Amino acid sequence: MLAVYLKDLSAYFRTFSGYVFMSVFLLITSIFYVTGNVFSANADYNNTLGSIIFIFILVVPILTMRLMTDEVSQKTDHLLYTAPISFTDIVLGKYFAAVTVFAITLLLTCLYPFAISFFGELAVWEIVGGMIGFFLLGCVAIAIGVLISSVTDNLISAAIGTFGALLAIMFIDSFRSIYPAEINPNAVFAAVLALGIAFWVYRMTRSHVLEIALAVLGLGAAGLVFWLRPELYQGFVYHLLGWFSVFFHYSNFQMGVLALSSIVYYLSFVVLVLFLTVQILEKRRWS
Amino acid sequence: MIEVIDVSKRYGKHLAVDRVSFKVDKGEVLGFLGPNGAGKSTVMNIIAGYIPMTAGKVTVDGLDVVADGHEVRRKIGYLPEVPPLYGDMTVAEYCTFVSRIKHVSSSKRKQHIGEIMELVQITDVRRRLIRNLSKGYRQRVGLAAAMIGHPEVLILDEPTVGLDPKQIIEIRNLIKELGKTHTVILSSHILPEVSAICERIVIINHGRIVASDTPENLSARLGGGKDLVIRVPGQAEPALAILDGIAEIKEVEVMGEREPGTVDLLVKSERDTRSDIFFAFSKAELPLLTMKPYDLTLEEIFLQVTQEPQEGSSDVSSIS
Repeated sequence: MLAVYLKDLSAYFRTFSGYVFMSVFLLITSIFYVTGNVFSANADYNNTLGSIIFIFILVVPILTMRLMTDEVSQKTDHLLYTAPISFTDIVLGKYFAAVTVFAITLLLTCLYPFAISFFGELAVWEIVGGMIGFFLLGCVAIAIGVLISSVTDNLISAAIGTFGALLAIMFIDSFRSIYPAEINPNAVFAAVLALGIAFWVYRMTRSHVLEIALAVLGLGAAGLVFWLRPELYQGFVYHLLGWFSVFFHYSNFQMGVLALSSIVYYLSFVVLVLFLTVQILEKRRWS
Repeated sequence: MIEVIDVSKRYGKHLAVDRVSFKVDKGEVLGFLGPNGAGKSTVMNIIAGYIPMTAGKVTVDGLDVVADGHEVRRKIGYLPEVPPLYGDMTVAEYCTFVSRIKHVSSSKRKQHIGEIMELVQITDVRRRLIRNLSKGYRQRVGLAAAMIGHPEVLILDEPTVGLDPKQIIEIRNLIKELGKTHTVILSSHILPEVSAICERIVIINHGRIVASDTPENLSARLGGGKDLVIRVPGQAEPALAILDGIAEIKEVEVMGEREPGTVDLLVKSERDTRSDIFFAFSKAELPLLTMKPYDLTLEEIFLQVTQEPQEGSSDVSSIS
């Protein structure tokens, strides 16, 4: 893992992608800092941080699009896959390299609140909490970028895919709050979801038997619940998608609350996404 | 050391490798010969554990490449068709990275890399970016990467492709040298190259093994070495008349005019008839402008081995 980590970390600074990421990140944050804190003479830095969480949609693709796709296009995946290291080593090495670049950049932005502290009262611990949340949110976004980079074949689709996935995750909050909470539409959603999962399994395994079995099982379970305990469908979509509303969980941090549940949520999200990445890579290799 | 048992690889409907079986003993240098697209790289990728087989089994030193993948990969040094190089690294950085992923201990790393660089002669370019290296140097850096970590088995996919003649000879000698301490599988589509380095040759075409033997037996079986091409001035008839007088000659084929005013003849015989031909022509006072052994091209070898399916299939079963 360390070998891959060191290689990819230095690759960020050998090529331009690390510098491009840093410049874009610092440019956007500084614009919001100047308008949100300096011009308005406002010491609430957490508010600024909270208003720029969309930044990940723009900058994370820069950071992650090359990670796996470059190996494939340069054919260096031959070297990595035939070396005595595991996919976990490769994925974690790459992930931590990207996180390190992000962490360095984020540390540079600490200058902003530091500058504020000369001119007013600074809620130091709240800002520390906000920064930790911001960092964790970035870690989640980078994990998603690593995942997308592993399933796409070229740089452009990795970049657009990551952008799209992060955008979709950002809009999940709006979607889940406008989706009706009544029982029927939620039951329909569950049925569609069951069919979707069955189709996805088919795409992965190419087994019609498994697909039909899963579809029947999923629809059966959904129908059974609908028949026996329909009240369980109340707000089903809202709760289900709540699991994926990464940006929503940031609100705690923005208020400066270092909630353990949010930290655990972000960390487990990262672990889950990276685990999925390793599984997908293994699957792609052995099929 | 390496055992490939009934390995098949299917890409969708296309069967790239069809029940390939062969064995490589410890310390042996095996040549894997075949035209482009015959399935050479696919078989090598499977042995190196880069891609899985659709059916069959490969063991290296008794370990299954799928089930014990991690252990097997420690034993194998692999140079794929396109050397897996990072263009933005220097040669030294690249070698260090490779030695790290191959778990070379940090105390031995510097010395180990130094030795290998010296062996493949890339020490003088160690500080240069790989991206700026010539094809020959890149190939050698790839070879160095395969050798790092002292793997017992080297799998080299067309190691001399794109090199100039001098480099080809250097790499060939290097591989010969490595063959003394390593088990080597080497692929190529050039017959003389394989016969120069390898102790045994496996010929593969359309994903199937069509022949497997030592270079000597193979060329003997294919009639190589005993068939001659001669060039005489003027017409073919007088020469044919002279050749008719030599009893051992089985068959003479007129190959036509390759040089203005001359004619080429292909002489097929059971044993070495060079002296007989020489004296017969000198007696008739007809000059022999050229006399050389008839080298089969790879295409002709394929034609020949694929035209004798009986022998080919018996060979396959004898080595599996």
